[in-house]
Amino acid sequence: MRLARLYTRLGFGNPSPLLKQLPTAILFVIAIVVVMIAPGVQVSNQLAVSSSAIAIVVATALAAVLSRKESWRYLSLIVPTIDVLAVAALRYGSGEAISMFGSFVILPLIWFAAEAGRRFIVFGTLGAVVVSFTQFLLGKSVVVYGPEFMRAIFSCIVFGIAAVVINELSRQGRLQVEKVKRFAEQSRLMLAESREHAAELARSDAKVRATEQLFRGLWEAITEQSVIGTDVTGLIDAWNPGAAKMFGLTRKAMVSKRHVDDLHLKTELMDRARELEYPAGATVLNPGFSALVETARLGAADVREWTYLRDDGAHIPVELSVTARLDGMGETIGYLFVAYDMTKAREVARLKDEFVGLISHELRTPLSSILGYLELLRDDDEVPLSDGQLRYLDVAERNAHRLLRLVGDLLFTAQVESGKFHLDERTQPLGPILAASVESARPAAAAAGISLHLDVVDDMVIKADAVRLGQACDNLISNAIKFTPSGGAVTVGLTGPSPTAVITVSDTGMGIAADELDKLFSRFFRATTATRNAVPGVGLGLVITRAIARAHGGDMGVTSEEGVGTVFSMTLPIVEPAIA
Amino acid sequence: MSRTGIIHDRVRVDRVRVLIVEDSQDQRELLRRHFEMAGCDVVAAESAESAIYAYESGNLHLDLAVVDLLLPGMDGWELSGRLQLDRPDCPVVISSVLDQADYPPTGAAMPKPISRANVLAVLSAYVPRWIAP
Repeated sequence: MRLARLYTRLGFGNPSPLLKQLPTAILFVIAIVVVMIAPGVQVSNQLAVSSSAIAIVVATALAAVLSRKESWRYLSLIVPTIDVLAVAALRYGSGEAISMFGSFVILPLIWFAAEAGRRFIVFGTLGAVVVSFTQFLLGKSVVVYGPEFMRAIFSCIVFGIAAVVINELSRQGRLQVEKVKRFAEQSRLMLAESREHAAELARSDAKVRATEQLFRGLWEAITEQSVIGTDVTGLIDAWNPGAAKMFGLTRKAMVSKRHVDDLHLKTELMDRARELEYPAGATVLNPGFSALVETARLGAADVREWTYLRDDGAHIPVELSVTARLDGMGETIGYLFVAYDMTKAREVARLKDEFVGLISHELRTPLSSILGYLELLRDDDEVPLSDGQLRYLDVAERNAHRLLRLVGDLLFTAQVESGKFHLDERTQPLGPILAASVESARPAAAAAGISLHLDVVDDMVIKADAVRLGQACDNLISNAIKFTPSGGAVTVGLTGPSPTAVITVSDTGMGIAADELDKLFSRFFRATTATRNAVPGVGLGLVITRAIARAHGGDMGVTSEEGVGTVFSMTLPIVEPAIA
Repeated sequence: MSRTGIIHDRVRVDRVRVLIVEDSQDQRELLRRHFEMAGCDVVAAESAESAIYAYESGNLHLDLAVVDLLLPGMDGWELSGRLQLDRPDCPVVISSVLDQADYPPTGAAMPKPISRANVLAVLSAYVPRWIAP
């Protein structure tokens, strides 16, 4: 380890020109010293030796200068060039062929040969040539094939080959270094990438955790509704705090342990299964659960009332919505049951109904007495009344009757609201019911100067409560009369039978504004045409009429044009088409 | 009128006897008036208990019973059942402010407010031996 550090410290990894020059310089110093003190060394040319010494100093100095700046390093080959010349001079000056310093050229040769590029082999070898052939270059006669000459040539060949080898070796070395560098670079990049991935993962993770916490927070906050999730067989896999509160059972006790149809009344599930008409003995493994989720399974949300059964036997009326849970590919993987406890709502509705019922009956009691005694007064044979008194009595009776009717209407609308009113349905022809209503309205029509017509195209048989249906028709006819000025006409028509019976009551009256047509059937609503023309009424009639139509399985419709007239239509399902 | 609130009429077998059970004095007197005008003997009681006492203790024959539903003590539903057991030949007419749909199934109804015409109709429909005066 320490050696490696030393190695790098001294710059051997990327040697500076000075470092490369150092061996040459040291050797030269030794050479000069040897030349000066060794007895066997001849100095044939003092000038040459001195100039070589100077050259080396210059070269070394240059090397030092070039080492200071990386950008000057391309000039560094000047140094070995000078070295070559110095070596040539030294050899020349120390006996030439017999000089011991010829092999010095190896050092600058190595410098050259180690450079990247084959051309430097040539330069190196050239240097060796210069050194070996100095005397010949400087003019000495050439004895070709002479011993000196041959030696020079052979040396150059040897040096040339050495140069090749060094060049190749250094090239291999460089390639290896390149490879290692590339590898290191790749590793560095991969590390950076891994780090980046890790950071991204951490970010995603944080996001996921935050989302999970958000949803967990939302889930835990639903404490007033029960939310139960199940798989496709009804095994519970999600149980929210609301469910825990409603049933008094913990998540641990329910999840993966019990089925959602356990929590329902068996009788209700069976009723629904019957409603859905599962054939007996069909391959429905769990008809109760299947009935519960049937609508949801087919893709529609199902909202209806059920009764939950607690372990302690208590019944909880709930409004339950069942929806299917789908995976990413749209396959049903389970169901979700959201239940809202209706106990309070039921209780409130029940109290309201009770209250309205009580009030209505309380109002009827004194009215009965008023009407009863007014009648006694009128019909008392012992004390006959004057015409005037009879007229007053008439007014009192008429108003008492009106009050009675109003109480009846109020009670009826309350029953409509709570969905409880009785129909005494019998199969009977429709025509007579209409005829009766028309006949009973004739006096009022005559008094108002309105012509009243009955137009029955074909009679048909329906299942109806004649009293209630008659009440509905009375209502429509009396409305028509009320809203038509004197001289107008009211027509009661019956058409059908396919697909349904249609009763129409049309008038030539003041009409209803187009934007009020859809509000017409709401409680206590009075059209502006009614209030404008001071037509008496409270606004309950059409509510009752529509409720009666709907209770018979039909519905109501209206078209109108202000100032022209109105047509109310009631559709009713029929039992049999026309009777002859 | 005795202190217990039970009213007795002198028994005359040829006249139609009607039992009226109604807790409101106004209505009770109204009904009495109408039935008496129609020529009947009226036994009127303001509660089911006093009515039962009246016809049981006097072993009275009844041609018609008019029963209100909302009574103190035993209600009209229970009373009509009792009457059908005690006096099976006596038709029980229910007269109440409540909806006819809630009436007990005695087969005869005369919902309030009643009129003279209602009373005469009931008599002719349910008391064959009654003759209009």
